[in-house]
Amino acid sequence: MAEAGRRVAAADYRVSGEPFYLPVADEAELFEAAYGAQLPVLLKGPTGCGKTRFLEYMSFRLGLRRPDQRPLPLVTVACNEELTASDLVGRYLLTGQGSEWVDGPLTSAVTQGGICYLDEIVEARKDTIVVLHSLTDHRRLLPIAKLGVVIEASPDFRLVVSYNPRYQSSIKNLKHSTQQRFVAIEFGYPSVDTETEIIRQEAQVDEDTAQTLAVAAGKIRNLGQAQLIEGPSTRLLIYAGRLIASGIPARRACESAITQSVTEDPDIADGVREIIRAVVPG
Amino acid sequence: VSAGDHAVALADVMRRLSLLYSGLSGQARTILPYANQDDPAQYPDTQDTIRLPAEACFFADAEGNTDWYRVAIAHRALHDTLGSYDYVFAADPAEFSKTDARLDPPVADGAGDFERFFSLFRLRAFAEQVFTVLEDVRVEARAGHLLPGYTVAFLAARARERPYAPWQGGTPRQLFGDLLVTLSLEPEGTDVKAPRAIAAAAAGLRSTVDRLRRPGATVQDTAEATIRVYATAVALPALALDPAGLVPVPVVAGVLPPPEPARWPDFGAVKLEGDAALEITLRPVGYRDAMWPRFQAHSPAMPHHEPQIIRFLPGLPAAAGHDHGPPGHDHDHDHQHGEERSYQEEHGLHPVEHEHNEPFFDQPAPAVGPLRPDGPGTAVYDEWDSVSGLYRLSWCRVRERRVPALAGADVFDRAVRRHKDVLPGLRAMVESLRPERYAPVGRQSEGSDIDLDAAIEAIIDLRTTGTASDGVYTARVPVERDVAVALLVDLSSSTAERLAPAAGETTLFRDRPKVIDVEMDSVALLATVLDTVHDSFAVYGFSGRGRGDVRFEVFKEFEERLSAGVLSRFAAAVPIAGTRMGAAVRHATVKLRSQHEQTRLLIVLSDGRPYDHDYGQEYGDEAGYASRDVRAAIREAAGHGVRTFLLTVDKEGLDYLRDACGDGAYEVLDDVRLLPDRLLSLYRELTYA
Repeated sequence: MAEAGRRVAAADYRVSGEPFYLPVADEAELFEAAYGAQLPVLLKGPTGCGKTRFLEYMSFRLGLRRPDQRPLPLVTVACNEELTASDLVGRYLLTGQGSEWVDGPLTSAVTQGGICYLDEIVEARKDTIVVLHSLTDHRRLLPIAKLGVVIEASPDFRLVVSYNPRYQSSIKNLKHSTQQRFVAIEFGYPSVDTETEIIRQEAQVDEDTAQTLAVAAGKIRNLGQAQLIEGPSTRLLIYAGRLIASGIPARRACESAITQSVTEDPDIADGVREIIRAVVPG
Repeated sequence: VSAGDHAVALADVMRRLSLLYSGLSGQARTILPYANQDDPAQYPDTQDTIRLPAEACFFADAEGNTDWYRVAIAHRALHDTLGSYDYVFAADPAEFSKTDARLDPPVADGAGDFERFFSLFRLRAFAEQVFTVLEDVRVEARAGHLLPGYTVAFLAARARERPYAPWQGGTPRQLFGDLLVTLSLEPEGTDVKAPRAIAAAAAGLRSTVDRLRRPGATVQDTAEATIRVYATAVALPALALDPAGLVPVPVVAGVLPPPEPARWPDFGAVKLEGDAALEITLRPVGYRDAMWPRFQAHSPAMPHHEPQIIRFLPGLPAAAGHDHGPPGHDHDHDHQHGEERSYQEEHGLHPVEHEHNEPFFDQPAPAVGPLRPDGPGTAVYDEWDSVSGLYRLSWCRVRERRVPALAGADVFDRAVRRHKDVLPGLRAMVESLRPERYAPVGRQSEGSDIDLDAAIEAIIDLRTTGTASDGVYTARVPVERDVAVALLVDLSSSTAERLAPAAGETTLFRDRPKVIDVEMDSVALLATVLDTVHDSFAVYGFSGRGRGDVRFEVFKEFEERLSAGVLSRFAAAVPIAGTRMGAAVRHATVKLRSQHEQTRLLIVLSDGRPYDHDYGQEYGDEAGYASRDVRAAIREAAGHGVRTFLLTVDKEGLDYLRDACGDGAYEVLDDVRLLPDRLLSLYRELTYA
């Protein structure tokens, strides 16, 4: 269990306890094989479909195979348009006396070993992503121009990135030169049965409630990308389930956790409400 | 029931019903109101359209009426998701045994499975009706489980259909038909009575209907049930009988006995006592759809149904066959005309060269004299009269209208599907337009390098005052583009023309896109790029109905973001009438002038020369007059810092407007299919500085 207020260096963070994850297909075996072969991995899939949870689960599962049986260190960087190469590699900070070099999260992971996870890599600027290239091939090197050094990656270092091929998929995409450096594992929304089980487990609701939420989500996802940039994630369904478990009426819980979260467009919200009304008994 | 204020207009709930349908079925269909609420033979649904009454006023509260619409939509979605249209002739049923004598009927090659099945029946129309009602039973039996939120709404909609007196005489066959509809509306196990004369047939019918309510029943079972019900019906005597003596129709409790294997009805043994004996009509149920047009959609070789044929015949009232008064009585010609055309078009029966989606209902503007704005959203503009060499002052009245969203339309998806080959270019274009150039900016609180000047100041401050600004870094920030563009799309009636097939293309006429579709596809693709690279843009359409009524349709204003709602407006573009381009360019220029961007661009997409019914005709050189007016409008725009580019599609490659634009600001495409690609590359050329 996580300890409240526990503070650890970013490069030392490990999950505490086994994360709940229900494999959908052969993704765990694929990831293990890629890990064993020191291959960088790309996790593809919509928001909230369980990419991050999967990685936490794998860091735990693979850690059990190591001599210390501890989960692997997991360094997560949430990418955004402002993220620069310095944010990943490190920079000089000003001190009272002068300046001091501070490693970025990527440099720490490369040095100490562990999984470096760049979440939503497509959001990062192209010039930022380029620093990864020499880490993702046989060289496994991280050059740091400002220090004039090249760091050889620890044998335990692995690079995992995620990206979400959604509405802008046809437009906002990874560069081919980047995409072709990773083994890709694709995540879709789970099947109704799997999603029902995930909701039941994570939200602690009965099977009927969990199934109703899973079915409603499937119908809402039918709306397609022109209406909804992204359908409701499994995460949102778990939130709705938790609200229901706390005594909020089902439709109200869906309104709050699903309808209000998937769209800002009032017309589309009406449509989502209609679907929920059809599937969720009032 | 007096509905009064509780009536619900379809227009008010159309958008969410459409989303409801998409969600429940995973498909998109356009919802349309009945053309004539009183016509009992409404235009039925097609694969692409759903028809519903323009107003629901069946219940005494608005929620009840809205629920009625919901049930109508849910019923259709159940058909789609439970495989009503996935019938396979050779497949085995789950609940019934397969009829022995289901021999492969002699039908044309390529006939669909529905066609093969229904051609087994001599009274084909009756068989189709029976199939429809039985399939309604099957899918609605699953509604309680699949759509538990609608349990009450379904009960209410069915209850509304029930209160009628079915046993008012008639032949046993007709009573049997009435009983079928009644059973389809009653919950399983309800107390239902039938005349003694058909008691045995009624008991068999009930057990067949109940068998379809089992969760495992498939559309193949419905087909088997249809054979059984049909065989029973035609074997009933066609004599009038005394309806007295109602007996309960027994419900078989527990496990249903195995159904008897059906014998194929022996037509020789069926006594046909005059034509009247054939008449079994199954009463339509308001919220349910007629499925038969879609059986036909699966079999292109089919002859058409009689009602369909009647509708296509010119000169006959649309509802011939139903007592609707004398032909031509109460017959709004324009309206009927529009309906017939669109129906034919849906079915791809005749080429539609030009269509007018709205009649010319306005009073024409006077032939001479200035005009005045006649309400909000209207403006007047001068027109250049090249013959007299003078501007005609306040000559054109532009009426601006915001285009309502078309429910359920997925323009971007449609565009991407149709123009897959454009995608790589689209991506490359975004890459090239995206601000890849970064400029270093100092004194930032975060950044990749230390800003030496700021750092030295900070250290001095720190040592002298104890505090310092944290803005000591240099960050590289993207250089923003500074472009505003208005896309002005020609919505003249000629854009209703469908594309000629490309060499080797075998697409059906009705599946080929219209010029307007390609225009809007192109705009949707470009709009998505512009939204991604944060260029400010607006999308307008224009057409003309004479100088007093130049239509200016707003699909997207500069300040709106490109939401799904906006994209679905693009799908609502319809061809209107003429091409009064000069006034439209002037109005778009006014809109662009209020934008603060440095580069202001107007791109006009048109499909031929400008034409309107009073656009220079008095001089006998309307083409010259119109193009010189456009040239004047473009010159005026340039004077206000707006650059105009005209992209015209013309099969003949005629360049009526070259004079209007001057070199480099004008291009003619001889194939509209090139438009999406060309528009994208053109935009890049025009704005990539």
